[in-house]
Amino acid sequence: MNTTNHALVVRDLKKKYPKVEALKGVDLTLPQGEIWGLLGPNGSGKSTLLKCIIGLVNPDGGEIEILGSAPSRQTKAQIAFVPEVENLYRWMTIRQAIDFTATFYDDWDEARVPGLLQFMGLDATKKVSSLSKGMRARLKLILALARKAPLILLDEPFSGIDPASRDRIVEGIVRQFKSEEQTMVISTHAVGDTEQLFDAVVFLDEGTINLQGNAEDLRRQYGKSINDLFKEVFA
Amino acid sequence: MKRFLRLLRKDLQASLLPMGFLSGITIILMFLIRFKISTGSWPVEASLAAVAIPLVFLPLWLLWQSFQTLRSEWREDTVYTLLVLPVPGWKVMLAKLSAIWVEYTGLLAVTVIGTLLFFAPLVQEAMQVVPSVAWLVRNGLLLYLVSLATLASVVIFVQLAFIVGKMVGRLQGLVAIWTLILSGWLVDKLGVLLEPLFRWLPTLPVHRLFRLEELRQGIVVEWNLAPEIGTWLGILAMLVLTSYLFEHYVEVNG
Amino acid sequence: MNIDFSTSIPIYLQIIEEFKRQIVTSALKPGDKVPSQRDLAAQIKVNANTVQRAYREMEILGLVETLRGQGTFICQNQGIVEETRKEMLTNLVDDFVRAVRALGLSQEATLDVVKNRFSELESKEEVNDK
Repeated sequence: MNTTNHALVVRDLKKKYPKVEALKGVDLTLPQGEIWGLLGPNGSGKSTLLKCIIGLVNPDGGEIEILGSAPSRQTKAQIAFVPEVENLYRWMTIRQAIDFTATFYDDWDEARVPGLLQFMGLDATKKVSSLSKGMRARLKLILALARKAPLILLDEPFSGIDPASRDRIVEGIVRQFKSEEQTMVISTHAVGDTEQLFDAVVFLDEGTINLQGNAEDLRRQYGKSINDLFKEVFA
Repeated sequence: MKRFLRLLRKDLQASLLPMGFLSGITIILMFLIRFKISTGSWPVEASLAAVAIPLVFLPLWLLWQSFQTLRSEWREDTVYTLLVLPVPGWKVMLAKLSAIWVEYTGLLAVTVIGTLLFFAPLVQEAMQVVPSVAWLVRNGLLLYLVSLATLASVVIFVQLAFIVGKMVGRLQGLVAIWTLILSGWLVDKLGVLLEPLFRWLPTLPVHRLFRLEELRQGIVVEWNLAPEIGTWLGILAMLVLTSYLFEHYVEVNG
Repeated sequence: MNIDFSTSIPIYLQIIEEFKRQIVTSALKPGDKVPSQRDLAAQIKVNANTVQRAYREMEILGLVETLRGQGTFICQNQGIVEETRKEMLTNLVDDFVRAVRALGLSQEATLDVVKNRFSELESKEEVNDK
């Protein structure tokens, strides 16, 4: 099977932690140019799946192909990963955090930075530690969107932040995402205000995919919004 | 190189606060002792303590720092940034080691400058033992290089122990300590084992700087490098191993 | 544009529906320029691929046309306003008729009620306006 024109292919991916089996054989094929919603409640394995793709977690079995290659240092250069945790150095200013990130990625587009900062309402001289959770989430997104990365992974970008920040982030994604050259996966357990972002969705439940497909097709097929479908599946 | 320097800069900036604090403490301590001596409340011999205290605490702090610089990445979740960077693991590890070298050099400089500033008579007395300024520079430099190497070995041991500890789910501390003991033993054995291979190396004539009597008499001892080589190859292998484990095997907590 | 995403209707269809509504009420006139796909996506915070799908469908339906390098416009064809109005009305009436027939009501009785309701609601609105 020729998979080079796929942004991401996952085959029979398994991951077991000491206490829990996080992924029980996940298969997934993402065409280029789409935004995928990785949906499921907390502990369903969403985060583990994303961490396997970027290389923060080593799977116990199965295969991952990122733009045709197995995970490596090279694929790390092609992925913009935004974790759920606060991964920024708190003592840095926003400007320092931006410069730090820019040094490591050849696909960094400095020309996008001023516009993104303004859109997100961030003052580059402020320290990361002085920002609210929502503002830090905005900054984390800027660090991903200022890159022309072929694959963007956002892990729970909306969890626990204020509605204004959530709106900014949704709009920022819509504005900046380039479907001609990028593919995005967004994991979330709060589907309500974000379902209009997704081309396709994957429902992950206790390490297994139990539903996936084009979002519009699912709405038509089930006569429900993705949010209602989500509530029904995980009731 | 640009990326290595950025990592180094980050590690240096991250420890700017404790560095400033320690420099300040050192200077204040020296000033205090100098003041007490000049008012006559403390004997002149106290000036030895003023120099010795920073030099005793320095290695302890560096040991702590080599552990702390890694631990803080995990504690503050910044390891999520570090582990996804498309850089080889050795750049991360070597940047941390280099930062500790720079910090060591900085604190050493503060101690030396403080000594020159507050205890000039003591320095003058010490200079009487020294054959010449050129001799002092040569031997001082040699001692400095040996201390850098020793420091590197300590940092590399701590890094390996920490990273191996992070690879297990439970009993991380215990695993780390056993890694430290085992790797130390292995490297020591390696030095002995490989010693015959490097017997052809010439010995290095050195002064033992802390034996004042030997210094006065100008006694030189021959330093046999042969057993050192194997040890250092072992330490280098450990750095490579740590870097590899960091890049490919360490996971963030589930 | 106002789209309720909590409904079960595919979003691209809702976008098309909204354009039709604006054409019928003359909020958009033949020849008017419509927002670029990216602008509309940002404005209503919808995936740009979905907006693209809506625009492609509207081109096939003959509602809009895209001129290279100039943007997308409501078709100059004057007939589209009338056609769209007819189509929307037909759809509404179809739904109504189906609902009425499902209740087993006769055409005559229903039409009378429709006429009465029209005049009653109109006079009510006039009162409200004053």
